[in-house]
Amino acid sequence: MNTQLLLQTTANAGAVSAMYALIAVGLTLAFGVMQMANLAHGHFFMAGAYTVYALYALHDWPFWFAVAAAVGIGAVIGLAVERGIFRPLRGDVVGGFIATAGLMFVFEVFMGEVWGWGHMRQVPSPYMRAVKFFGASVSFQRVLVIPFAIACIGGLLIFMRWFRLGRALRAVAQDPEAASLQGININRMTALAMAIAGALAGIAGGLMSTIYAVTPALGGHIILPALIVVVVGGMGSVGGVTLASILLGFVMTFVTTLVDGVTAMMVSVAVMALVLAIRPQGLMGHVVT
Amino acid sequence: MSLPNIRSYRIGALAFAIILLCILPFFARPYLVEVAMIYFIWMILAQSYRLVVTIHDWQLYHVVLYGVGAYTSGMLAKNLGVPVFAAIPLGGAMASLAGVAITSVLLRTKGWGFYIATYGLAELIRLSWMKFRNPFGGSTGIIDIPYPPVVAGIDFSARIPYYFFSLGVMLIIMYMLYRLERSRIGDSFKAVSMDPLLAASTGISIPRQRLLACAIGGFFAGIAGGLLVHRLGAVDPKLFNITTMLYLLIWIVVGGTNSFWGPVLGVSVMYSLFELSRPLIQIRPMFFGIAMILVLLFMPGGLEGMVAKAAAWLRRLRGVQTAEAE
Amino acid sequence: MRMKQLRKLVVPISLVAVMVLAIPWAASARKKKAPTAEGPSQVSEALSGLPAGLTLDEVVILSHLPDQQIGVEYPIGETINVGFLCALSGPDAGWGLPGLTGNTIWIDAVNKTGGLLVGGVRYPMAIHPFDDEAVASKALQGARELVLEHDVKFISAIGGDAAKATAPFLTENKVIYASLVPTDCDPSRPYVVAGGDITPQCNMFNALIAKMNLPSEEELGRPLTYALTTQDCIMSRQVGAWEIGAAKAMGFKIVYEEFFGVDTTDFAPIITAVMATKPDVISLCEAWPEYQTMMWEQLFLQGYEGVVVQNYADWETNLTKIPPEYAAAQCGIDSFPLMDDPWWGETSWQASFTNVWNVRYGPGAPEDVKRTMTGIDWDHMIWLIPWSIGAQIAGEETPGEWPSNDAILAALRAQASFPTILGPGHMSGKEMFGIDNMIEEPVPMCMFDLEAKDKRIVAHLNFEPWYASIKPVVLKAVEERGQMYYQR
Repeated sequence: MNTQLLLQTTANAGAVSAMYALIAVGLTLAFGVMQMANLAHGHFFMAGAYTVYALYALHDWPFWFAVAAAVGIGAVIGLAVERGIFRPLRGDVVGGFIATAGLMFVFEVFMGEVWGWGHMRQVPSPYMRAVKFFGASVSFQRVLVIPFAIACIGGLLIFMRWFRLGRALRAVAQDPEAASLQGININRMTALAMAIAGALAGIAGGLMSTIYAVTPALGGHIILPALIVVVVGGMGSVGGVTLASILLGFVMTFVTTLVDGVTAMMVSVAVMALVLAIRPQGLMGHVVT
Repeated sequence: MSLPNIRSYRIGALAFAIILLCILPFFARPYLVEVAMIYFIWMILAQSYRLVVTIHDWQLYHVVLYGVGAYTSGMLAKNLGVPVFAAIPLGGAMASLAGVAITSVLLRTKGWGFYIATYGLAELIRLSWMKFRNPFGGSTGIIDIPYPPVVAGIDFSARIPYYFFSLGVMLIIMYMLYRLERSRIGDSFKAVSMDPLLAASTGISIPRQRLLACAIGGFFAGIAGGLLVHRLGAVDPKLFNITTMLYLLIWIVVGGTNSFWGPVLGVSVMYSLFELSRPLIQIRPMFFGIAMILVLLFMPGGLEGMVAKAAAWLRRLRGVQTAEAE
Repeated sequence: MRMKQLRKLVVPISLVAVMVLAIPWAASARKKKAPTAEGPSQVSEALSGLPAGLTLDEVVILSHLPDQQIGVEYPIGETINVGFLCALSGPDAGWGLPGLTGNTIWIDAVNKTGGLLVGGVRYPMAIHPFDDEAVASKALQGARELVLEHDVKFISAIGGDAAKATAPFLTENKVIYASLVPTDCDPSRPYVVAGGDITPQCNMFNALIAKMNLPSEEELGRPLTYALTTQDCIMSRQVGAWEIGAAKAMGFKIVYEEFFGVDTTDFAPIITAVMATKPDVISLCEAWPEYQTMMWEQLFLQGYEGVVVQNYADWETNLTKIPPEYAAAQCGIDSFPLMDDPWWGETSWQASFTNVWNVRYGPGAPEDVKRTMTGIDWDHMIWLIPWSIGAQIAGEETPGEWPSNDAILAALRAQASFPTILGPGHMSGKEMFGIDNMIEEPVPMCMFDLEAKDKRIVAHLNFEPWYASIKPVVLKAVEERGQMYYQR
């Protein structure tokens, strides 16, 4: 592999890692606080993408207003799902994930019926140019994800360390019973967690609506890499997500360039299975009691 | 007094259903016969999945085992000339092996990690079908899979003979699973499912029971795959993806897993709705997603739980009446 | 106590009841929503004997039929069903879904005259779509449903894997499967026909047109290089082999020939790999409509500076990702012209089709599809119309009876020439594909036009003479790749 190819692939991989990180961080937060994986997280992402499509592409809102709307809508969806599905089914691990699977169907059909099934929805790129450095060039739209990923992850970490609400979230994640004994309202915390998770998914979807093909199948595509990142990094660990997304981003990109996409997916899934078999709590997660 | 009555109702209903199924192909449209064959396959899948679910857990690779059986049977018949009626059980055996392999790797994994890992390993198998064009045909799959031959003057590649073949296989499998539940193995299965710790303390080896359940469940799933592939004449990886697994979950959750009849109810009701709603095919997944969520929230016992409740209510009603009469 | 238990049962029972009742009710409600568009009637006084609702433009569209006798009454026969078995969702939908508009326009025009006049009887037509998601097993399911449930005699489809999978069943039932790609034609599949796509001819011409837009070998001091990258499906492999053959015949050196998985979502690494071989021409070959948009995006972002050719470009979507200047600079060569291309002229079959399409499916229309007209909207008609023509001709031998598909195909083959959307066509294909099941018609080649911000026809070429001159090289390349009809 010559230097040019190496540089370009590294640049591609870096952008992809940031994308995976932003997508997965909401999922891991939700998992940490509720001990339930939200299989419909990919569909929250898709809802964010469709919001930007509807507002920016169809109704000519300014791009950043549309993304802000996507954040809001994501938060609302997260709250609704928490109240309607996760709260009644708390503790029922099987029921929870089956219900989110059912939710996937509902979202897909909704998007398809309202905005059409056939072609991908066209979201024009507001920044139609590439960033070039050291001979490698990456789309500006992708590079844009990096500061957002850093801001969101950093913001979340700061929130969970320095703010009372954030620390309450961590308490619930570590030990729900002890937390409730301390007077923390579990319901409010799970609602908050899902709202944040939904908002994060919304901003990810909104930003990446110009990168991915916006179709009703988008949610299903996105959830697998997100799951891999969350599992490998450690369910509930934001730091783990960062590490795992870099790992996954590089593995996927390099293997796709050198071999092909299907092999890349296989390698990633194999890595996930390996981690689950050997160290089920992931790279940086805690052992769940 | 009421218990034998219910049993005889059940047997009567069952006999009626079987007779109906036997005369169906002679007066129904050909397309309906095809639909019925798919119904039998779903029934086998549902019953075999229920076995695994009650002993072990809600793994997400069952539909891929169905695929392993399909691919194995198809490839043996097409590439190695193995007779179809032998290829199908071999496909089942291969699926059984795959199920045992995956389960043994994940014996120590619990909770969320387990579900995601089963999904991941299943995807791994499916991706290898897509990647390796050479034996597996890649994402476009394999076609020209042979139909069953003529046996004793009956051409099993034709619709009606194959219908009876798959009906027969389904009934045999259902009967075997039914007897299994009432056998000694079934007893230890029940013990493991109701109280694993207690069962372990009586000397039952939990891992071994689980592996056995997975082996049996996988075997039947593989047979279902063989049935499918020799009717379609083709196979491709998309048939066995997570969407199919989700539909299986819906049939099972809605039906209920408490008793043997749960999946029967679930598949019968939901699959019929599935085919009836074909004109609505675009929005169909939404109906089923909502149905599943509502069932999970409000009807955790599933349809069979509801039937049981209704039966109990009726019984109590009758009991109260007789008490009042006295 | 009884009431409480009763109440507990009410919720689940009503849920099941709602589900059981809602689904069939909604199903029947949906069926009633069948579209019937009536455009403004533009019938001039001289033609006032026309059936109600039939516009002048529709008369022009029907003019391909040799003997429709519009306005003359004949007894009405049974409904003839045709199927539309394509990807209606997913990345391949770009080659399926739009085709429904064209076919529907044809069928509705025919029905407005009472029906297709065959052997003295007017047969109304009906179309039945089925989404096969470009998956072989679904296509088989669809074929079964279309033939057994709806008794279709003719199926419009995209082809490729689906053609291969459905061929045994459809051959048994003698149902014509009109693929877009002649590479599906095969002597063992007597009812698989093709030609609408003028593939691989247009792909082969890509090499010629590309060469015309590049400096020559002498000027560069080295052979021109050609790269091909597209998704891995039967169609791509077949067409790709023919295209590479033509490229070699045109003197190109092949530096990259790879097929990426159909589940690819990230095209950055793929384009990186192609550009690493420094090709003068990059061919996207049969890249699905959704994919070619993402590939163009990457080509732009990674700064490719050569000629880009492909089978089909969707400029409306592509221009949301790349500036039109880039498309023009890289030529953007493809086929599948637009029907409102000025090349066809202001009064032409194509212009009439455009009018009818805009009235029905254009912006503000009753069935607004919220996009501009593409080169696929008419693409499936390219066999539906000749089939109708063949039925009329064959019907003369069997008055009062709808002719068999064997008779229809024989009738078409017996014609020296018949009208097609792209010009006069005739049946051909024995040499390339082993059976005369392909319509050979003039091949329109397009390039991206900066002023129009869309594709425009630059040449309308005859394939057979050119092919005769490059045959040996091409056939050798196709055989090397195992893609000749006798090798599959």
